[in-house]
Amino acid sequence: MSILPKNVAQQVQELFAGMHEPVELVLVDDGGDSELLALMHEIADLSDHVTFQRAAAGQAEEFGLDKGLLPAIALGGPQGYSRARFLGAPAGHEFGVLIQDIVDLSQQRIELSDETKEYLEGLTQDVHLQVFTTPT
Amino acid sequence: MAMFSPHVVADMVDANEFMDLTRQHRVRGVPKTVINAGAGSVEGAVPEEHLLNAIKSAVQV
Repeated sequence: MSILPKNVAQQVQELFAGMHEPVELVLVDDGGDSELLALMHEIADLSDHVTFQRAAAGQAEEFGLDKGLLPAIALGGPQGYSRARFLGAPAGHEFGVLIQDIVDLSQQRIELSDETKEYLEGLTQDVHLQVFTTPT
Repeated sequence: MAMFSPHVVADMVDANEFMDLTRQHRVRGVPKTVINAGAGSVEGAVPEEHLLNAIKSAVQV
C-alpha cells in the first residue's frame, strides 16, 4: 500500500521532471520499519535523479544532523549536504517544502529578494532557524 | 536562506515529534520560526521581508 495518493505522486513526478543535478535523500533514524522510511522510498522512486539511503543514528553528524533529534532527513546536492534539514516526518505543508527543496537544490535555484541576498552575504555570525510545524 | 548562506542552518521541525523542543520554545501556534534558540521568533507564515527583519533584530542582540 502506498502512502502518497496517486495524484500527489503524479504532481511530484512532474516537479521532479525539472531536476538537473541528482539529489540524495538521507534518512537517519533508529532503524525498524516506519511510514517515514516507506515515504522516502516512494519519493525516490519518482525520479531517477533522486536517490535514497538510510543511515544509523550514530552517523547523524556525517550528514550535518544532530543525533539527539531523530528521525531526521538530510538532502545531499551538488555542493554537499544541505543546511536545510527536516526533523521528524515531513507531513502536511512540510511535504511540499521538502519536494520544493529537492528541486531547488537540484537546480541550484535561490528564490530570495536582492535585499535578503545582500544581507546574507554580509553575515558574519551563524543563524539557526527552527521552523515548527504540525502535519495538519 | 540556508541554501544561499554558509552561515544559515534551517530546520523544519515536526512539532508533534519533538515535544520537548516545542515546549522549550513555547510553540502555541504553527508555523513558528525560532531564531538562534530564542533570540528572536516569528509566528505565522510571514513574508520574506518580515522574517529578514526578525533575523536582523535577533542577530544584533
